[in-house]
Amino acid sequence: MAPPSGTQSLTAGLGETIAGRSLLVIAGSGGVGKTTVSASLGLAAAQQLDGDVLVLTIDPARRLAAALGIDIEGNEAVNVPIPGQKTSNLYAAMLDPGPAWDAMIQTEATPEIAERILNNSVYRRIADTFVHGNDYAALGWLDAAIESERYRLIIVDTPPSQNALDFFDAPARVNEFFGSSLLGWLTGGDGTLVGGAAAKTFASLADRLLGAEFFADVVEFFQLMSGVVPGMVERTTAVANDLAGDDAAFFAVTAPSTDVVDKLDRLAESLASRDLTFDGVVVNGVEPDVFWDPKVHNVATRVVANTKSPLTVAATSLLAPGAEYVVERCEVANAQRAVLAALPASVISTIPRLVHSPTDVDGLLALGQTLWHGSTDEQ
Amino acid sequence: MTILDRRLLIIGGKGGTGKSSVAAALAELSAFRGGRTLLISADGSPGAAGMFGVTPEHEAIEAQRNLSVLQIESKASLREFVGLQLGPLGAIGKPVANAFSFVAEAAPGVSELLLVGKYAHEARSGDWDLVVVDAASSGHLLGELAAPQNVGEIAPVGRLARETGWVVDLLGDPEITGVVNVTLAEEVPVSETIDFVDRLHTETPAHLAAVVVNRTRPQLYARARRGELAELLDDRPTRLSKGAAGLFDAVEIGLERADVASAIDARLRRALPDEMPVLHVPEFGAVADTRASVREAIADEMSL
Repeated sequence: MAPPSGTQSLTAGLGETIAGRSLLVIAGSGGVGKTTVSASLGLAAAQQLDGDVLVLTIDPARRLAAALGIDIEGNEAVNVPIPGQKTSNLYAAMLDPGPAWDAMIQTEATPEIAERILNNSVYRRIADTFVHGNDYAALGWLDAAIESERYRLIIVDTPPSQNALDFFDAPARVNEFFGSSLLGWLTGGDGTLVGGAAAKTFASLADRLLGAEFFADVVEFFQLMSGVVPGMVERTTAVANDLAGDDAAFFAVTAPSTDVVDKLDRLAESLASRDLTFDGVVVNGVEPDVFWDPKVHNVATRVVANTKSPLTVAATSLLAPGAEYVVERCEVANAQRAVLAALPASVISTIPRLVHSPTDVDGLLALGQTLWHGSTDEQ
Repeated sequence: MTILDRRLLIIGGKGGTGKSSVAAALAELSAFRGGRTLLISADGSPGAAGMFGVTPEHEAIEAQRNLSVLQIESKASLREFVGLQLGPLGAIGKPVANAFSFVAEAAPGVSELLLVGKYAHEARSGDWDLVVVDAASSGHLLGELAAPQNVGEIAPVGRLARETGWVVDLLGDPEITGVVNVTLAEEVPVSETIDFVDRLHTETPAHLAAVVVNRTRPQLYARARRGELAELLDDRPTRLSKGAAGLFDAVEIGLERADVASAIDARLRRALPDEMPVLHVPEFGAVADTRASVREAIADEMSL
């Protein structure tokens, strides 16, 4: 549905959708303001809902912690003081993948096995380099947060990824990685290499390329993990299913430009492939209302051309360079109108492009309230 | 020496800054100057290499005169590398290569090393005058650039480790390799750029070649006119039509945006060494052909 002309047509409020759920997933490509939206909605939710709210950010944005007036470190959920707030609390946590992996291992393995895994040189750095390791660690962390039953609502600020499914598919990928029959074939029962000519060739290749000592650690790592992975996969699969279930809402954040919205379309397609849809789209950085007004566009055009300007000659000449900018931004607003009309969602909320983006709790809370309640701006 | 007078230019930046458009523009400028140019997309999407009307693949494809494009992924690079090392193995070759890929993917830094190794390999192949890489966003890129050294330290005896020496040397030679960071004149991107430049220096052998500030607003007014305008905005004519009143508001927003952006731009400039090029690419309106506009703006800034 195209927004009516003359206004940027905010917005169904998102609060109604959020209030009925216990999980909220915020997705989108990099640089679109996911973390700001997550924090704002978290603040609004803590004000509106009966029960505590947790925002988990997987993107390490230290500025967010600063804006919320807190110090976040090492996976601990930290209470965010909200001015005037009496009933519910907001907690924020930032995923630190290393300790999150450690916690998962310690939950699943016996103390001796856990210690051997944690001391393995391959393990020590795998969380940083393993494909989708962060997604997986986030699911493990979420599992613990859900199990604690401390939170009425958990908001997940997802990592920027090419594909939203990466997040949901992380357990399957981990399972595939560790459960590969190829690796079983290589590591055998006692951690030594077994098999015929192919395995021997492999061992000699691995020794040659990586060095024998490192290769021994690789083998030990896979062997130890084989006992731990099934339990981890079971837990995280359950969380991934929760995130895709009826108790979860799925919001996308996007910028109002065609290339970013194209990425959103791909995201929508991958969601559709597992019967999910966006419950809402937040478009961040839409030109403010004044640039959507055809009267402003018209006057600006006349001032630039210096024909039929409604202003004095002096004022027209002085305003002309600024008016040129205004004409350009009115055209951009028109293009944004088309972008908004083509979005793959029925619930659309917009955030105007602000001169100063919110940098403190008050600013974020104000933004959150607007997103929660919607706006009835009419011009 | 312009930033193009190197063998390898690696373009990084926060998501949403227009890194791919800048990489495409730099590659095209090099090709227009007659340099045999390879543009590599290494950020998991067609990115810059996909902007020339052909679908990039794992092999270089000539997209236009002097400009070839290529898209690489760590997995494919790993297979290629393992294939080269194994030589002909007949029927057992494929499962061995697959198993090795699985193991090496778990080895710290190996997949990053192979990505960077691929850039470096192309840069020293002699096939190209310039290799431009549309690289991963800042954090990942630092990991890639640091990988050759790190792998050398962790698995110091293997062949892979011996392969890292020349890559470190090539990355560390500022005459050969340069890193370009793309940013915006906004608070967060500039803070991240300053942080990136610092970490590039301390954690990797590579050197910064330039910073590109994308989507800037040129100053609309000279200082004198600016003062007059401020007076006009403060003391507006009475009985303005709705459109004219809106124009005053809109111009005020434009000025505020320009002021904030130039303050942030000045902060970036102060944080960089004096001789470091900072190229400004303006924000184009809704109708601009972005790639051509970005290219022309960069050419102007480099006085090509």
